Amino acid sequence: MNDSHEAGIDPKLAELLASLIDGSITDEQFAQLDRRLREDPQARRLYLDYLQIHGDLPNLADQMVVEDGWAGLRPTGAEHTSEGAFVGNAPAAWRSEAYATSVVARGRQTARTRLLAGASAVALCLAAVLVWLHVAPMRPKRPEFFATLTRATGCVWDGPTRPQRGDRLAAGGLSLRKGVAEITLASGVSLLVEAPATIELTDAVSSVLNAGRIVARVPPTAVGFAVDTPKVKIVDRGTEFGVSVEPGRETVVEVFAGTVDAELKDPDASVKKRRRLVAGETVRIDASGAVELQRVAFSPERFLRTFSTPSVHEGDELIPFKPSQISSLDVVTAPGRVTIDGDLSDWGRSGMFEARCAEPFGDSCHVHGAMMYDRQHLYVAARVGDPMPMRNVIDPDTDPWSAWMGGSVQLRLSTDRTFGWPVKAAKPNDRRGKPSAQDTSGRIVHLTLWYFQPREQPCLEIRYGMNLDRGVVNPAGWQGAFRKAPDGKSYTVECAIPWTLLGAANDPPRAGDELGLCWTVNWSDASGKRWRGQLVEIKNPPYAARGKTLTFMHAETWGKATYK
Amino acid sequence: MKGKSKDMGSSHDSEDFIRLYARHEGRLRRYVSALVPEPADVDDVLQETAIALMRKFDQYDPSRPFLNWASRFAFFEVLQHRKRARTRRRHFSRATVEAIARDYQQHEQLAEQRRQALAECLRQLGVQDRRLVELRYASDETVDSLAKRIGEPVARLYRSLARIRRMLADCVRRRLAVET
Repeated sequence: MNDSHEAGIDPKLAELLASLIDGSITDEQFAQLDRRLREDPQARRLYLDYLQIHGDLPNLADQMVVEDGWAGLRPTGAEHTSEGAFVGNAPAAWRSEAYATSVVARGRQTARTRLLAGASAVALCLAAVLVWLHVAPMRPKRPEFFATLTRATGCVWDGPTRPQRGDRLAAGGLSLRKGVAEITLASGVSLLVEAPATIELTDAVSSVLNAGRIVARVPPTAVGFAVDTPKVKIVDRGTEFGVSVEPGRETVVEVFAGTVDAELKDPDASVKKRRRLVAGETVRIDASGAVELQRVAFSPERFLRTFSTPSVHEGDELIPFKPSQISSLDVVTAPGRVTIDGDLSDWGRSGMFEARCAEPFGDSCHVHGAMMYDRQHLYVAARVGDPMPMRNVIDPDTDPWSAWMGGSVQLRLSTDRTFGWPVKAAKPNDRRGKPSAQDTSGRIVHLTLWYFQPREQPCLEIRYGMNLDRGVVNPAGWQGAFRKAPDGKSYTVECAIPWTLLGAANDPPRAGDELGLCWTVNWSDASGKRWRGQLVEIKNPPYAARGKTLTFMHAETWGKATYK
Repeated sequence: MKGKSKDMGSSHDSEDFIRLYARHEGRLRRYVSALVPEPADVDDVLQETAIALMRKFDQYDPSRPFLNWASRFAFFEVLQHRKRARTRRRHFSRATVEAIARDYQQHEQLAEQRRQALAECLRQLGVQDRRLVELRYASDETVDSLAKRIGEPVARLYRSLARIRRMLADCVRRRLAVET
């Protein structure tokens, strides 16, 4: 090969690349780098080499730590955590013998813990102490770290191990009382643990879930990763699945992507012991051991969020899905003139629904919503608990169709009195059976309300039909107002929309009508454009649970608006 | 302005898409990272790309490699993002982006060899250098915080890491030169 592999690396270029990677590059250096990359193919090759190294090092570094053990690592200042906890703060931190011993103790203890599963907490602690005392005099074993706590939000840990973000972990049990934690194993597997949960880390390719819920994301290099639960053992065959174990109730295994093998531990004679599950399938094992296999569609949007969102920033946890609990909402007659100013004191309390996001977000992410109407208008009001209220930066002039992602309130409704409820309309491409005139009706509307922060502008986008292929943005005649609460933890939105904009110029809804309605509230992170999660409420009960047909594709999932 | 529809295709298509996308997301992310210098922008571009891919999924020919098809969308989103984003963040010039994109595929062909070479080269690092690599890369910690914790001046730590990376890059190159 005639290339200059043998030539040394240009030190000036190396310095520019180093500054880029470290984030310390100045504007002037950046301009220089840009020019060199533009003009010089060698420079581009080196740049790509550097990027690859920088990208590959995290995984390889993890491997290195496991291989090295303690060999040759110089001790730094010891960092103590609470008594008995064994956590590695950095691979090079030296540990006293007592800590090393407690790892051994816990390692032995896990088998016993299972035997003691039925015992009370006190008995468990006692047993743990006895085991620890028993093995204490033995030679301490070198602990092997094979995992890191890569994310921790609102975590409260029970038991002796209380890791903090960035801490390295060795084999042993962990009990999470509150919060959400992400543990990344050296194999590349990431485990998202939602409290309350009790897990055991065994090694880089297997874990035990005794109670609670985890979602495992398994890269191709770690296929074969296994999660053991009391009732079923799951072996991953590629990508992402969730397991939840409720003591005394049921075990659920859900495959989000790829394939897993589920091996039942106490199978019925009539039930297959091992089955392969693919994406979209869920297995439920109830307390008595009865097994049920469900095939469900799931939300591709939610899934994409998981993949396209960065995995590193603290505070950017995704709000987990929560099944809806409300199936209908009364739309009351407006008591005279409604002033659209973001002040809901003229709304009264009646008819407002309340919904909270799944834990641990229930305290900060919630909604109170209500609707009123008269001959001319539909009125919508919501008070939304939001840690980052009114920050949406998605521009209605350029990207109205993606504005929902930056934080918004969305309504889907039917204004056709002849459609009744439930509404049979569906996205034409997605429906089975004959298409229906309802599918493209202009009386099927999807509303998105958001506050465009750069211009301090309340915005409304309306889409018509289940194809969502025609719509308007900020049409004349609508009024909306947003107000942020003084404590900055919630906002209020109030709007009035003429029936003429909702396809109901003729024959708008009247008292006694029951028509389709569904609410979706979206939350974003501090950027005002990265979606963090949503709450969907007012749903038709058979569709309330996770993963079933999507509300923007099937109006049959919508709940009921009862006009009073 | 005429709005674009949130066209997701049939639910069967959605699952196929998710599977494909999940499998290739890592490599797509690396591609975008090569064209877009700011990490936050990488995420934005990827998100836009994912949505665009999903909307156009019914036009994808499954007999063709997914990544080639997806990279075209990603490239487009990179350019779109440059137009939309605020000036405070840095972007490579358009000609640079195009040049990198052109070279990228060829460079990627040796990616696996490079990774293996890197693993070998890491084993050859001196003990102190190995430790630094582990500290820097095996956890989420920032370099500044790491410097404070191990008691090194920040500037010296950055220089050491840069030196190590340069050694690794040199080592990887030499190994590949021998093998190819």
